[in-house]
Order: sequence, then C-alpha cells, then structure tokens
Amino acid sequence: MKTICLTRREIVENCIGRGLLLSAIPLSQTQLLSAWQDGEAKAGKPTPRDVLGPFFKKGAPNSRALHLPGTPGFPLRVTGKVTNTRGDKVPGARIEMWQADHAGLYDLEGFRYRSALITGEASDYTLDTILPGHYDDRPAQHIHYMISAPGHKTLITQAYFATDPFFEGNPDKNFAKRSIVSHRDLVRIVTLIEAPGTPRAAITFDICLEKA
Amino acid sequence: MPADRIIPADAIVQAVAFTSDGALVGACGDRQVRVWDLATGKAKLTLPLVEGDRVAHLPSASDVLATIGKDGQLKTWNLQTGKVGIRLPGSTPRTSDLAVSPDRRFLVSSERVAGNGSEEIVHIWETTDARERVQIPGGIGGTATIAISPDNSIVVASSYDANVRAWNSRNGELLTLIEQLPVTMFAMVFSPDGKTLATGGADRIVYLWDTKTWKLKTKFAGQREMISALAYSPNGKFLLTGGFNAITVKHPVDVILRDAASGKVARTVPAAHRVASVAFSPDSKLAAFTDGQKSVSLLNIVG
Repeated sequence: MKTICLTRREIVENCIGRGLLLSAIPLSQTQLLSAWQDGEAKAGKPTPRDVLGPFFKKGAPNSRALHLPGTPGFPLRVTGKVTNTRGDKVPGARIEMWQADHAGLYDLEGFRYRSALITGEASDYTLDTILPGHYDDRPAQHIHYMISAPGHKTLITQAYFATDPFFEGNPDKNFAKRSIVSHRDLVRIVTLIEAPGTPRAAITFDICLEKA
Repeated sequence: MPADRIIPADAIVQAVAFTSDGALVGACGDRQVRVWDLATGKAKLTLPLVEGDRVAHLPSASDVLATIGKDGQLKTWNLQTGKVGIRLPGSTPRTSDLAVSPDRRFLVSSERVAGNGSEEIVHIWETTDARERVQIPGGIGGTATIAISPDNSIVVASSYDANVRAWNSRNGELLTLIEQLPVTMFAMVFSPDGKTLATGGADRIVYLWDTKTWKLKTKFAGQREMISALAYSPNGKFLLTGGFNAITVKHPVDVILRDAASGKVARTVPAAHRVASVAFSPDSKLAAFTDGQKSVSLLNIVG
C-alpha cells in the first residue's frame, strides 16, 4: 500500500475542502479556510532554547532601566514582544533577564543588570541596559532570558549580538564556533540609534513561547 | 600557608577522591584515571578510559567511579581492580551529571528532556540489572550537581534555576523543594551521619540544612569566590570548600578548612586556579584538592 504523507496544513485544508472540519460559528468553507490560513500566517516557530548558565539569581526587580547614569558601558535598548506559536499575544508573561556588566562580571551580591519584567496587554517589553562585556568562559556577548507564562512552557534562551567580534563579521558562518550559540536565530542585528545627545545600540528580541 | 604535599601527575587532574583503603584517585585531562599509592607517590593503577568517556563521579571511599561515554552510555568502574562494573545502554548523550550510591546498589543520572531543552529529568538505575527504578522531573535549566545520603535513602539534586530538590531514592517521592536559595548551588554533600546537607554555590556561602525538617540550620560566609567543591571529613569534624571565579579563570582562589559545627576557619590554603574537587581520606587525616594543575595538593588534617 502506498503511504501518503501530508503536512498538517494539507490535512486541515483537505478537511475544510471536503466539509470535514466544521466551525462552531456559521462560516462558509471559504471563510473557514481563510480564517485558518490567517491564523497560520500569524503563528510562529518557538524561539530556540539556550543554556541557563550558572549565574541566575532569584528576586530581580521589575525594572526596565538597568543602566544607571554615569556608570560605564555602551548603552543598549532591547525591545521585543512575547507571542506564542499560535500567534497570540501573551500578556502577563514574566521575562527574567540577566547579563554581565561592561567588564564581563555578573553581580551576585545585588541585582545590577538583572531584571524581571511582566508583559502588559500589548505583550511587549523594553529594557535599557548596556552591551554585555566579554569573559573567558563564554567569549560571546549575551543576555540571558527565562520567560514563563501561565499555560506555556518555560523558555530559557539567550540573545547574542551580530556585531560581536566573536562572530568575525560573519555570524552566518561563525555562530556555531566553540558550540557557544545554540541557534543562528539568537544572534540579533544591532542598529545604532541616536538618543538625545548620545548614540545607543539597539536590538529586537521577540519571544515565541510554546503552549504547555 | 601552601599545601603540605604535592603529588605530581602527567596530566591536569580534573577530579580527586580517595579509595576505601586510602589510595589517592585522580581523573586526569588525558582521559586516564590514576590511582596513587601515597607511601611512594607513584601511580599503582591507571584506567584508560575509552575515547569520549568523561568522568562524572568520583565519590570518596566507595571505590566506584562512573563515566559518561560519547554515545551517552553510563559505566561504572571498580577502582580496586580497574574493571568495568555495569553499563547502562538506556542512557543518552544528554546526561549532565551522575552519582553512585554509597552502597553501590543504584546510580543516579540527570539529563535534559528530549525535545525540550529547558527541563531536566532525573533517573535512578539499579546497578544489579541496569534496570531503571524511577524517573523524576528534575527542574528547569539543567542539573548542577547530585548528592546521595550516606544511608542511601535520599537523592538530592541542585538545578541551575537555583532550586534544590530531595527525593526518596526508592520511589522518587519528592521530600522537599528548597526554593529560598537565591542562586545555584554547585556543590552539595551530606554529613557522614546523614543529618545535615551542606550546599555551596554562586553566592560564596556554605548552607547547612537539617535533612529531617529541611530547615536551614546555619550558614557560613567567608569564601571570597564562588564555591565549586565541598567535602565533609568522614569523622564529621571538618568541612572543606574550594572556590572558583569563572570570569577570571587565572585568578588564584582559596581552599578553606572549617570546623563543621561552628564554621570557624581552621586553615586557608591558596590554590592556583579553579578548585574542581576536594576530598578527605577515609581516616580524616588527609585532604586533597585539584586546582587545574598537573598535580594533586594534599593537606595534613590535625584535630
């Protein structure tokens, strides 16, 4: 017997086409197919995971301004939104972020460069921090993330910076160097923006969670 | 004051322990495990590990060493004979840590859940027939270290999300979840009488927990670096800790010997780099540590 392998999309489209999939609200087959395709287009792949590392600390403050005036480091703004693989916003998600300071040191005494943000209705976030420093054990600059939300799997990952000398100008080629970065998608494009009076780096790091 | 005696090795020593008859064991960077006769300072037994095997557990005085192969196979080795004990084909290369029970009847391993890299699962395996006794959810972010109580009844694992869990080793029942720690514990050890669990990690503090109530009994500060290695002397009198500084790996660190009851520092010994492992001899008269050198440092313990 010949085995036919269909994708999930093909199965659903076939079901809709043959009237095998019904909607609770009255919709024509065309409307149902269109609604489903819209939903699929919004949906995304889950954000790749990365290691948690040894420097997580509980109890970080809900603070989006981590770079205190007059302290060293190149200013960085991180923005992003939290959605799930169905394309839904995830308000109330808890985003724990922690990173090394400009010299590559983690604060284990206090909460310098550590934050725990909660997403609002818009399901987005902004963090004003600095570009993390380099350190011997993990020589690629990175920001750690742990994101949890009711009804979703906890995600542990990291954001990296395409401008980092570690990638030698070519993150596509070099992201897997020394097995530090788990996935190319975690290396983000860095743009320079002009804040009033001072230049600042910026990255976007959107997060896509899996349903539990 | 520096160490009292140095035992030279042909390769960097990554972990250290003593056998039940007081010989010194070192797992070395050239994938050889050496057993030294301390009377002569010479290696009396060398175990050549298969390419890819890494030593994951060197318990004091149990004479059993456990390794993880490149293919994920877990093996135990008898340190008196050099022979392989059991092989666990059911394990996977995702194994992050393991420990052998003092009675050698079971082995505990921890690995990432397949397809979900954030969650960890802890397995308890029978060493008699390599059967899996129980599988337990082990927390988020990976297992930092595993400890087993001297009476073999409790398994404890620390995870990188800064939680510590204790389970009944027979059936996997959760005995406690220690959530009040702020940071990850990198080293854990039970006292010889089993009444206390000592933990140490990223916040440089040694915590002592009552293993009946799981309440914090006391804590000792004073280590300048994060704590990477911890041992109780078999007579229960001393605690030995070693530090590390992951940021500046070339930074010298301290090995600290304390009175286990009061926490009073009896001796501080400088170490060259990260202290990967500390151990006491079965008679509690000698302690050993490794600090990224081609040698093992020994301390004479008085009292």
